[in-house]
Amino acid sequence: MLFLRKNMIEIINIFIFPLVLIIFLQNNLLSRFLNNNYGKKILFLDQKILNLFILLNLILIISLLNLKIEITIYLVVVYFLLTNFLFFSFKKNFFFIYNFLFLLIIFYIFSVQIAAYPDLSWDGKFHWYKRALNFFQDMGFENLSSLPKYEYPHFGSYIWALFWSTSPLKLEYFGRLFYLFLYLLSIYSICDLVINQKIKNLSFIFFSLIAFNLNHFTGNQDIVVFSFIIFLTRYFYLIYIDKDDKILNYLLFILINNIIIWIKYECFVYVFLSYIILITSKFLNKKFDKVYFLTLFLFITILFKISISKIYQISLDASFQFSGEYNFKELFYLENIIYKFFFIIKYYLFSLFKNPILLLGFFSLAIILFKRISLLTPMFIFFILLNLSTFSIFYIIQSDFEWHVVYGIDRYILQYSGVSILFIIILLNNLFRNK
Amino acid sequence: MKNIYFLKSLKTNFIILLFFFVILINFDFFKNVFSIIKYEKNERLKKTSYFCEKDSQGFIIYLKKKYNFQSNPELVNNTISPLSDWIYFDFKKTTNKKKLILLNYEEIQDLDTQFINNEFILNATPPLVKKIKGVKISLKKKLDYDYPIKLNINEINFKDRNKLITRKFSFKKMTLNKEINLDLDISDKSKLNQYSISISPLDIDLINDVNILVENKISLNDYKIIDKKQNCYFLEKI
Repeated sequence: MLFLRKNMIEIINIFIFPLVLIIFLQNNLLSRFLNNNYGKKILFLDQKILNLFILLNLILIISLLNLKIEITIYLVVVYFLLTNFLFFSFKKNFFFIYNFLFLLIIFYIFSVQIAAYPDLSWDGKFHWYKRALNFFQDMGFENLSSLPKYEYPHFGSYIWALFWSTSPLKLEYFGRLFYLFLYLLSIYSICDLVINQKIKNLSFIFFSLIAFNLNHFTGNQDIVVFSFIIFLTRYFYLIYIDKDDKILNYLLFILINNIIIWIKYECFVYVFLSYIILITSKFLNKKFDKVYFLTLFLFITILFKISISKIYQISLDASFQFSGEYNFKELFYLENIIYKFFFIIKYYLFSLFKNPILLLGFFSLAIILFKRISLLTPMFIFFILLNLSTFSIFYIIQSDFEWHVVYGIDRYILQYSGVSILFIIILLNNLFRNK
Repeated sequence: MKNIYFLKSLKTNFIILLFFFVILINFDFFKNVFSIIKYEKNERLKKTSYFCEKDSQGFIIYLKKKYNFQSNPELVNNTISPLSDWIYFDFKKTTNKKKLILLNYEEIQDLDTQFINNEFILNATPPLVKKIKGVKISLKKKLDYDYPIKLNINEINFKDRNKLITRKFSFKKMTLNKEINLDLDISDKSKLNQYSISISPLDIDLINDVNILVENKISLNDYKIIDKKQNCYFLEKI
C-alpha cells in the first residue's frame, strides 16, 4: 500500500509541477508597474517572460555565492511573496493557468514520457548529472574541479539541481521537467508572433510536437540553449518590429543573453553574434543611445563571465577545440581546409535532415526570398551566421576532429535551430494575413 | 440557429478531442502513466536498460539495492558505453579503490571481425585491451596444398593507418583452422582506434572467418568476487 501511495504521489507531483511554475511566473508588482507606465502595450506573456528572466538572473547570482540550494529556494519563495502578497488573487491565478492550457496539456504528455524513461544520455551521465548532483548535495562551486571538464558552465546543471531539490520525493528528473517547461514556454512565446489567432495554438502544438525528442531531455544542455535562443529570437525580432521601441524588449534581450552564456561554452558565439548584429544595425540607423547602451551591456555580460571564471579559476580555453598539441599554422593549410570543409558539409547535411524544424525553416526562408516577402535583414544575417558558425566551431578542432564532427554536430545545430521557427511564422503570417 | 451553432461547435470540439486523443496514443501517454504508477523510478530505469550488456545499468541497480554502498566503488566497463556510476555516486561518500564493479569483462576475448574493403576489421576495440594475443583464421574448405599467407595487423584512426606487425605463415594442406600467436602490446594506443587484418594473397572464397584474440588488462585472480552475473562482476581487491 505504501508503495502504491508513493507512486501516486509521484504522478500527482508531475501534475502539480507546471501549475506551480506558472503561478511563480506571476509578479503582480511588476505587472502593476508596467501597466501604469505602458498601459496595455505590454503583453501578458511578456510580463511573465520578464519575470522568468529576472528570476533566472537572480538565481544565477545566488548560484555563484556558494550558498546551500535550500537557501536559493527560500529566496525565490520570498521574492514571489514580496512581489505578489499585496495583490494576490485566486481568480487571476486561474486565468493564468487557463491561458497556458495548451502548454499544460502538451507538458503532461511529454513529462510522463520523461518520467517513464528516466535514463540519461552519455554526456548526461558522464558530465551533467554529476554537476547537478554536486549542487544538489551542496558541495559548492569549487568541488566541480573534481569532475572532468571543470571549465563547462554550471548554470544548466544548477537549475536541474534546484528543481530536483524542490521535488518532494527528491527525484532528479524534476530538474529535467523544468527544461521541458522552458522548451514549451519558448515555443509558446515565438508562436505568439503568429497574427492569425486561429492558427496560433495550432502552430504551438505543431512545433512542440515535431521538435520533441525524448533524447533531448536526457541530461544534455543543448535543449536548454535551444529554448533560450528561441526566447532571444522573439525579443530580437520585436526590437525591430515594435513601433514603440519599448525598453522592455532590450531588457529581455540583455537578460536572456546573460543567462545563455552560462549554459554551454559555445554560447559565447550566440551572445557575441546577437549583440554585434543589433549594435551594428542600430549604428547604421544612427540610434547611438541604443548603441552605447547595448555595447555597455555586452561588455558587462562578458566581464561578469570572465571575472567569475577568474575567481573560481575556471579556464576560458575551449577544451575540445584546443586540446592536445595545438598547431595554429595547420588552420591555414589548403589541404586541411578542403578536407575539413567537405567533411563538415557532409555531416551538416545529414544533421539538417534529422532536424525537421531547421529543414522547414530553410524551406520557408527559400519561399520568403523567392516571393520577396518582407524579411528583416538582421534576422536573416543572424540565422546565416549561426549556420556558418557550425563550420568555424568544428573547423578549428585538431585532435579527434572527425569524431567531434560525427558525434557533436547534431547537438550544435539543435541549439540554434529554433531561430528558423521565426521564418516559418513570417511565412504563415504572410499566407494567413487576410484570414 | 442555436441548434446549428451547437451542432457545429460539438463537431469542432469532437474533432479537437479526437486530435488530442491521437496525440495521447501516439506518445504512449496512458502506458507511461501506468508505468509510473506501477513501478518505482529505479525499476523503470532497470526495465529500460540492459542488465549485463553495454551500460549494464540493470546490474548496477541490482548491486545498489543489494549492497547499499557505504562508499563509491570504482566502475570499469569493457565496452564503449557511458559510465553507469551515476546510479550510485554520492559526493558525500569516499571513493573506495578496493571495490570494483567490472562490466562486460572476460580476461581473454575472442572477437569477430567484419570483412570491409578487402580487410577484416575489428570495429569495437575493448577499452581494457592489453594485448593482441593472436589471430584465428578458418577456411571454408580443406585444401590439398599448402596455402602461404602474409598477414598484416593495422591500426586505424579515421583516416590515419599504421601497420603494427607482419607475420608470414602457411596453412598446411588439409587444415581448416589456424591460430597465429602474437604478443602485440596495444595498451598505450587510443581507445578510439580500430584494428584490421589484411591478408595476402586474399582469396575471400576460401577464407571463412578471421577472429582476433585479445587479452584484457585486469586479472580476476587479483580480486575476490563478491557478486557475479554473466560477465559483470563486483570485486574486492585481495
